[in-house]
Amino acid sequence: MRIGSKESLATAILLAAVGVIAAAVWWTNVEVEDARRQRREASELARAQTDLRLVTFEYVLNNHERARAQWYQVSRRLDELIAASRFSRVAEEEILVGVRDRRTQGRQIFDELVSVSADDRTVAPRAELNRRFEAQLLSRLFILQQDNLAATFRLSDLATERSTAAQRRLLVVSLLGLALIAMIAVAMSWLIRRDVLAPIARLQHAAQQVATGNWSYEFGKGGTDEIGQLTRDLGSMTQSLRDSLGQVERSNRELAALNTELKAFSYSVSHDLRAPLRSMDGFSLALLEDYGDKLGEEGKDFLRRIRAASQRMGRLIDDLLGLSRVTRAELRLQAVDLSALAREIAASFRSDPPGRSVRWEFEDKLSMRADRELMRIAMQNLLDNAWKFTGKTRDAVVRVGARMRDGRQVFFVADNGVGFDMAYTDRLFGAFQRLHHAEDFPGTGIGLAIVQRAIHRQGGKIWAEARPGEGATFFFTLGESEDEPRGQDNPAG
Amino acid sequence: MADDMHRRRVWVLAAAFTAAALVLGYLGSRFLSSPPAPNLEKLSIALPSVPHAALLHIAAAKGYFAEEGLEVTVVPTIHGKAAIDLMVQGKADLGTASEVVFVLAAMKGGALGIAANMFSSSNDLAVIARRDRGISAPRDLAGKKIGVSLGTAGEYFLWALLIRHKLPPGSVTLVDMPPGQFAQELTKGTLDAVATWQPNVLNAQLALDDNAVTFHEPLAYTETFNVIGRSDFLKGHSKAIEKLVRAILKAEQFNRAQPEEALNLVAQLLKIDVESMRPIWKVLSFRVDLAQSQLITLEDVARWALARGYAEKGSVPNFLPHLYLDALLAVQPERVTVVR
Repeated sequence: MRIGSKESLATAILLAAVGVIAAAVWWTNVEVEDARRQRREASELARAQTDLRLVTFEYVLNNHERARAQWYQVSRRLDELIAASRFSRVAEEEILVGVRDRRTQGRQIFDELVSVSADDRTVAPRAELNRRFEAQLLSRLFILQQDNLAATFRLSDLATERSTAAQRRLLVVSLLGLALIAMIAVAMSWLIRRDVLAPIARLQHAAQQVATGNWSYEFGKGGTDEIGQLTRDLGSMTQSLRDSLGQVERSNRELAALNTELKAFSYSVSHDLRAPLRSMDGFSLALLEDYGDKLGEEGKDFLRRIRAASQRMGRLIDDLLGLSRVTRAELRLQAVDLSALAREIAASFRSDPPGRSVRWEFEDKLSMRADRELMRIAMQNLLDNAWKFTGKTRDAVVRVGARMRDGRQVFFVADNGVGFDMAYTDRLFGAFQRLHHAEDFPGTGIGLAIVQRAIHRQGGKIWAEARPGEGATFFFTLGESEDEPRGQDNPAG
Repeated sequence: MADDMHRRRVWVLAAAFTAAALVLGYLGSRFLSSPPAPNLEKLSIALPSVPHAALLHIAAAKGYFAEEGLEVTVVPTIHGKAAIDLMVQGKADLGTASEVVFVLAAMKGGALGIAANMFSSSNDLAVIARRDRGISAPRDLAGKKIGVSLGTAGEYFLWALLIRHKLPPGSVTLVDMPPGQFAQELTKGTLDAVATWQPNVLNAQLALDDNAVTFHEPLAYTETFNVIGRSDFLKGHSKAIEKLVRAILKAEQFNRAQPEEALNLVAQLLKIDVESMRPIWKVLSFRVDLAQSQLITLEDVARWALARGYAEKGSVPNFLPHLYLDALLAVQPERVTVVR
């Protein structure tokens, strides 16, 4: 049986027990109230009969008219009380019928008693017979009254017995009900311990085993109830996780192998490709220096073009290797003073080329928890970008700072350079993507791709906002990447 | 393995519930029932074969005496007077009879006591007369020969009926005979009427058929039937009398709860046809008590006995000491209404 069914059954039994007790209480109350009414009526009857006996004695003693009138008065009251009495049980009804019959006989006898004249008692020859007749009437009257009084007390006693019996029944029903409730409570406790707590303890133990890395721990079959189903589900889930983990481990191994291959490839690229380029550049330079006079201007121009092309390809190779290193470098998170880092990088731009004027504005105390080398690479490229694209701007300004947005610190590098059209923003961080002609702004087109990878490696986000001719601002965050960037004015101006 | 464990747990649970039920049952039985009967005590009772003693017949037949720890020997008699005679002679420990028989025996000097009244009726006794002798009303009995068993309730009833109708007791001729002869003598015509109790009333009516005229007189006399013993015996065997009272209370309860079965049982024991007995049964009241009103009846009977010369001249005795109240007071005191 399922735990829910057991709980429903136990609740139903409990409610039934409570219902029985409540019904018993209600029934007892009805019984006691009825018994109380019966006792009250019996008491009224007894009082009237006592009054009747009193006036009977008074009449027998004095034959007084007042006593006779009172006798009939009480007699009527008694008859009314008997008629109004409500005794529903057979035994009580029988007693009441007896009382009523004796009342009828008593009234008949009293009528006969009243009719006996004084002459009847004294005048011979029937005096003795009449005296016996009157004595018989009196005896019968007293017997009937006495029996009626005893019967009335019996009615009262029966009412008391009913009340007592009802209270005793209530006690027994209550005790039985409470015992039933106690048994259900014990059974429930036992069932909860067996069917809930013990399986949960086993599940807890199993979860601890899995948490400590024992992925081969078996959860077992479990019972037919909800916890049994949960045990099986958890077992299935652990099995799935076990399978996935194996898959991940295999993938990791494959990735590690690929990484090793990539390293070897990078080494090969950096050394094997660079050597022929150096030869091309070196021999071109030798030709220019040693045989320059034998070459015409056109020949020297070709050689200079060869040298420029080989040098540009060398820079391309360097940038590609840089991109690769950013991707593969091991993270070392530490406190980084971004303000100091930016100032240090900017210092290298101030003398190159001579006469170039840029106003650098750095907010102080820009600190973050990041990988210093990755941040250096990222800031180097961002500031390099800003320096480059403000090259044709008078009163160039480059700003580095941070703002709070939605309770989060957002860093930015802004310039008032040529900017770009936001329609091409999706191409901005792609490798070899360029939004300006190389003639206007030379470069490999890899710098922003490196920046994006450096920020992403650190769990951050980067986005840009710009307008053609009004400059560009690059925003980035670190350590979280939930919200999409929002529109914002260019902090550089 | 798991099934075994489950089965064992179910058994443990079932055993726990059974144990709880047994404990509750035991407590309930202690709470609701009386203790078991101890060793049997012996009693002999002279018991007439009349419906008036039905509670004793039922108690004997249903084994209530044994349940209460009594070994009762029943000494059968034809009527109450014979039963009291046997008891007075020491041939039985107890007897059962009407209060008329008791008063006569007590006034003869017997130190007797009534342990319990177990029957009363105002319609049991009757005068059955021959209509062809010109009897159609009680006053027509004057000058007639009436059969009675002298010294019994029958004779007292006739006296009370005559007084009730203002007929001098000497206006009729009493013929003494055993009740078993009434029907036959009436039929033969040697008697004009008889005064007797059930089932003799029924037998006489059946014998006379349409010629029978019956006079009841509920306003004249209410007969009772009592358990009677020697006073010294009653006091000396108080526990046995208590048990006896408990047994006839059980019989009363049985009769109240299952009247039809009680009627069949008594009819069978007394060898009376059930259908003939059914109308009789309705006018008989079986209730165990000792009432104050009974003292009035005892005194009335005593006055009659003095008038009839059944006792030496003197005053009406005090019957209060003759009522043995202790047993009924010990068992169900509310049934004792004797002023004390």
